[in-house]
Amino acid sequence: MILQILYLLFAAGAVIGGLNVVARRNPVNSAISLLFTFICVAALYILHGAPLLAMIQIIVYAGAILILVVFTIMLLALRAPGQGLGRFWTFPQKIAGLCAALVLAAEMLFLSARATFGTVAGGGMNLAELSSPAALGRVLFDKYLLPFEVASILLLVGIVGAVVLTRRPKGTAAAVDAPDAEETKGGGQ
Amino acid sequence: MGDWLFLIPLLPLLGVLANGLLSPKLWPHNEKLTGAIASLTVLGSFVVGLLATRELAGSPAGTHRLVDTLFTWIAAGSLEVQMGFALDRLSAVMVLVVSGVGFLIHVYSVGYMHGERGYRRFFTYLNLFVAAMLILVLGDNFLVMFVGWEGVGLCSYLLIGYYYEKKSAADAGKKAFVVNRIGDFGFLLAIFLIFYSHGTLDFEKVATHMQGAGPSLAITVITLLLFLGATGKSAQIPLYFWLPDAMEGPTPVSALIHAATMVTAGVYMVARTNFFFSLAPLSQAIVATVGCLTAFFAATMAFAQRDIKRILAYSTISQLGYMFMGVGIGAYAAGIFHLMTHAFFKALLFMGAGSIMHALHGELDVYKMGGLRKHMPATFWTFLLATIAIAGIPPFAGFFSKDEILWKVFSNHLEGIPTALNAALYTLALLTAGMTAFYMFRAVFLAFFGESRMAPEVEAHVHESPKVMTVPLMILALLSVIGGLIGIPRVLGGGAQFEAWLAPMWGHETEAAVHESGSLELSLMIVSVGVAVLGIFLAFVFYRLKTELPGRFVASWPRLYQTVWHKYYVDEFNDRAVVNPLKRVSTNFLWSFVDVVLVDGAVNGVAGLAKVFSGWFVKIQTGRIYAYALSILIGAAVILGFVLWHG
Amino acid sequence: MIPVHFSLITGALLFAIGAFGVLARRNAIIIFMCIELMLNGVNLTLVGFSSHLNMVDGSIFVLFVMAVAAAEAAVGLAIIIALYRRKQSVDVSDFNMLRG
Repeated sequence: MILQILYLLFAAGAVIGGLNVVARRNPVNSAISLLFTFICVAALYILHGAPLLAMIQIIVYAGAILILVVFTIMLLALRAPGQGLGRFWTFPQKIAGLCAALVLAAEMLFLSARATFGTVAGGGMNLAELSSPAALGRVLFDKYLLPFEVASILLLVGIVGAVVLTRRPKGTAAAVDAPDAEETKGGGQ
Repeated sequence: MGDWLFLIPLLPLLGVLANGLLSPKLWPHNEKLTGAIASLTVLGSFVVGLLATRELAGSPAGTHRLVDTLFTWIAAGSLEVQMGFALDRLSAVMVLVVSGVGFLIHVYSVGYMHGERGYRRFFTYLNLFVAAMLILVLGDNFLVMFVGWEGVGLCSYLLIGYYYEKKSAADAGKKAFVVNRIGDFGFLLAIFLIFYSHGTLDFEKVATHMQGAGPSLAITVITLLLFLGATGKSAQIPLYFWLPDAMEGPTPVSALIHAATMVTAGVYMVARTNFFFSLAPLSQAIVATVGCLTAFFAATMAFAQRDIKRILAYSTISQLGYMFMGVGIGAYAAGIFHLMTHAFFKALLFMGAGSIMHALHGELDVYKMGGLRKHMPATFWTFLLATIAIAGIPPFAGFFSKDEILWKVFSNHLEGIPTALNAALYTLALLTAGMTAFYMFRAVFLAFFGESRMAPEVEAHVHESPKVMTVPLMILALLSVIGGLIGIPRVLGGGAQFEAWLAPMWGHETEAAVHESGSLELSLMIVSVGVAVLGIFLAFVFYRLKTELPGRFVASWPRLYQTVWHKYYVDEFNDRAVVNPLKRVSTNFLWSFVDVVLVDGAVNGVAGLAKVFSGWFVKIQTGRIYAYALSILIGAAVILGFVLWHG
Repeated sequence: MIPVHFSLITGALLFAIGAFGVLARRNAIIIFMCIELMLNGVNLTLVGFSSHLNMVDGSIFVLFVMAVAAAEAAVGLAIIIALYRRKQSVDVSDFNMLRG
């Protein structure tokens, strides 16, 4: 029971954080809000019984992706008003976007409410064993070996791409402001 | 048994590959090797042909042909055509004539074409021609024969236009090909009709169908269409006018293609399809009549020619007319016999003319020759023997074959055709025989006898041709003399072996016995010899005794002379009636409208349409991220909704 | 024991909010953050199912989504920086060079 209340709490927190991300003008504020959302979601993972995923969520999302975003905001040093600090679209466009999103949300909610999902005996808290590092590792290097390798190549491509895209043309001031891609490989070290 | 028939056309093809593809890299300037390879491949075909004929002759009574089917060429629905070669008695004769005479001409060309820039090209084309001709005569169905038919047409074009830098030569090649094509159109239509009515194109199968069949309109139409093809290839009226122009090609080409082999393809074709022609007496009458008229007309045109090769060209057309008379009237063996003997002496005549040209540095006008027999004895004697043969003086080859035709034209009555035709044809043919003797000896007297009319610098270098050229002349001269002895008719006490050998081809297993009209045949024979002698005598009078006579003749009847000299203005008529209107239609209608407006319009129209549509669609690509994102989301929502709706 | 609907609804809401954010904001970096929001919503759904059905495959999927998101973040932000160098702006309404 208490788990469910906790769950609702963190879920609400995540949703409010999400709304804040969308609503704030200053990108830094949005970033902080996003951090809050990430943490709430990590808590939700723990409540689902997947602590490893929660840790990875913090490390990767909050610890890497968000850092990247903040660095970018810093590097771009947006000061002048015309630089898209936090402008919104015009009203009709916002309404159109709202409608699309609402329709999508309605469909998904309808789906989740109506559909019946099968249950497995003892469903729920077994996930702790199921998604322990050992268990995950076993499956990752066995059944999902190919996606694992492909993902590592993908990360390599990402690194190379990021470096190439932000290279300054030759002959200009030294390029140190290309953000390094700090990332971790998903799935245990 | 007969499994190696394919070697006969294959060997010259190997020569084409060797000389055409390999020799530029491996032996670029080695004339001797090129000529040797080319000649030896043809000799090889001859030898294989000889062996095959021997096998055919020695095979048990039932087999009348050797077959070599290579593979199934076409199998499309109900049409099945094999790539097959068949050697029966008729094709045996043709194969031996083509490869034998071909070989001699190849050897001759080694000497004649010496020093020419396109030596290798010449022999490649010549070998290709021999290969195509052999395919033509060996094919066991209409389509393979047609392949050979087209092949020889192509090679004729290539070789006539051999001196392609000369405009008249290039034009002559084009003319030959285009006129041939008109005839080929008739041939093709005939093939379509044959397939339509018989479901097969195989000679044997069609012949079996025709056994016991009666005459019908279909057969008459088929035979007339086939004959149209033959007139194109064998230079009969109305499609003969390309042959004199074809003399632009090198002389060995004229000898091989336009005397001995390609032009005889039409005669072969009529003989091959005798199972059709025998059932269509109307077509037979037409064939014989056209042949006779062509013979006569061509002979008249030869009277006025000064160019020795043109004289021989018209003579060829005339003799081909004789062959068609023979096969038209139903005397297939006689026609083929004349084909063979004609190959001997006409090739010899052309090669002799080439020998003269070689010695006189290309002089062709007989009025600029004279007295050559002193300088070129070998050429003179062989030429003379060939001329006697063509004039039809016994016991030379030409006499037996031509006389056989004359006799059959007189005596073979066609069903349903009035016998008056036989009489008319015979009379005209007899007259033409005399004319043949006349104009041929005119050429001989003007070129070889009398005072020299050569230009001095030419006369200084006159010499006999080298052995590589004169030896083939002598071999052919020998054949022209004794070649007729295999066809001595019964009435003269001979065995008529040639006719007997070929008789099974036309369905007569037994040879016709000497019938009661033996004495009539003898008397006609004497008449024809007499006419020939008269022709020679008149030529002697006009061109040796009273040499002012020709001039007086021309002066008295200038208009007649001009008409004949201009070949009855046939070429001019063709130009005005056919060529120019065609050009006008092509330019003003077919090009301006059909091509530019319709075809280009359609193609450009499609492109224009694509442009219009893309103009509409390009408006979707605004470059604005908002629009893209929105459409993605709306799309996702729609799809999800769709799934939910039908889930 | 958490009913599966909780995670589904929360995930759906996060996704929809992120979708709206993509369409409502003009700053490229904030759009990017909203995309990350959407991914989190998806991850939550996956974990919910993984827990409910007692299968580890869902968690593996989440792992890979995170890996891809990391790579995407690197490249995406690099693109934004490169675009900024070009146009001196991160307002997406300025990026219509692909018009055609």
